[in-house]
Amino acid sequence: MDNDLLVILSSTLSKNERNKIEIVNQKTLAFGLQLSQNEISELILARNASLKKYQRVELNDGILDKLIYTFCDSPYIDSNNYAMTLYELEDLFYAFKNECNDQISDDELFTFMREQFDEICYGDINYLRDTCLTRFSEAIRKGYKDFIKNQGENEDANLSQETRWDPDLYQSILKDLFW
Amino acid sequence: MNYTQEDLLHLMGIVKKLAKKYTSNDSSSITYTTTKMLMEAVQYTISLSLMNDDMNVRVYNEAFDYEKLYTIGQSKLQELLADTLEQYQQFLESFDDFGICNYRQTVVDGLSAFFLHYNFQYRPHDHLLTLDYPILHDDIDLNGILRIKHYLHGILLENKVLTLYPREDIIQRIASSTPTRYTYFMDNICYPVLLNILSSLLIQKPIDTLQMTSKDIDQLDLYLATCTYDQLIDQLTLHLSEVLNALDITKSFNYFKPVIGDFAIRLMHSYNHSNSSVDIFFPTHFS
Repeated sequence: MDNDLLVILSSTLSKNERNKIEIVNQKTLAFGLQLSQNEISELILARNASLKKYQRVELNDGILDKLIYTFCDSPYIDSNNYAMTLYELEDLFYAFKNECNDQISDDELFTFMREQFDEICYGDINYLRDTCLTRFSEAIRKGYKDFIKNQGENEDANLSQETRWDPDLYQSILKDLFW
Repeated sequence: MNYTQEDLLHLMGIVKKLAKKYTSNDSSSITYTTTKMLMEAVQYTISLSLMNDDMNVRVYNEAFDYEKLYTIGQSKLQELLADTLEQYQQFLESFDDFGICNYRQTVVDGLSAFFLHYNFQYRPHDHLLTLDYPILHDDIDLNGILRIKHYLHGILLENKVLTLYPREDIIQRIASSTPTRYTYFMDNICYPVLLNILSSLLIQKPIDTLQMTSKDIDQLDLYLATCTYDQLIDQLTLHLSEVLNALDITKSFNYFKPVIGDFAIRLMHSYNHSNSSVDIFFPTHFS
């Protein structure tokens, strides 16, 4: 079975997929976010390109609707960067499915990405890719399994190598100084 | 069976269903490598449904209903696996490794591990083992459970030939033909035994012993001096049939047949290029 056939198969867009994206697109209006028809088409094309790049085959209707649903209420996404962020996130998703050797489910990876994107990266895709996801995938390849228990949530405490902002410490010092 | 691209697109429907099971519905996409593995699994399973009882692929005349063929193939695969396992367990009860490590490791350790780890759902085409102990007629075109079944069948047939002689005689025969300790013998055990049997029959010597005396070898040399290669082949074929007939495994002639050409070439070549004698094949005294 040659790769060309797999490329054709993976880029065969199910009619359902576009419908699903359009349904989610209506819901994201509540957050002031909407993709135009062109942007939906481009997003699907970008998804197909990512599938080809990372040598993967989609089994169902794709992950785009789920991706939009997961990230639409992020405080770091607005109408100016919405489409571009989605292109980059879907590419990251497939890249790190491979990097994790498929040992992580879609939902776990989405949860991890969303949490890190908001709480650690403050919307910086490069930091998400080069630091958070890289560390996470490396840990999974080395046998890290704790993310299964938490479904991909609260992973920063296990993986972070930096001293981060500590709100409790801040509050206690603030109390010491002003109360 | 060769599949067209259109066939492969149909098979992809089954692959997608299988992939959902494979990922426990946790992943919406799989890698090309996994897709190819599952496609191979589907094709292998379908090929089983197209096999008749003699394991020959028959032509399916109706329009292919791949889903149906896959389902039939799956039940056939499970039947085949259960039959082979049962056959193996029965064989193990009276198994004798003749003290040969390679034989024991392949048949006892290896095949047991195969039945433990064989994945008939996602990798039915993978027989997992390198099958280091060589049988007389292995079929490297087969894979998966079919290869193991063929291998086990071969071992069982060869074992029938080995039952003609006491254990000690066989060990001595192997020990005398290997420069290292006989426990490290890496070749087929039946091969030297069968060579002895057929050579004895060529010179009309009774086959009640595996020992060949100098006189026997002289007689064999004399026989080879007067016959052509084709005559030798004919005689070996005839004698092999007689032996198999006596062992009540006449139907297995095709399994043993390839060794005839091998024996003939080796005997003739040895006679022509080694001082007109085939004594290198037959140690005249056992250690």
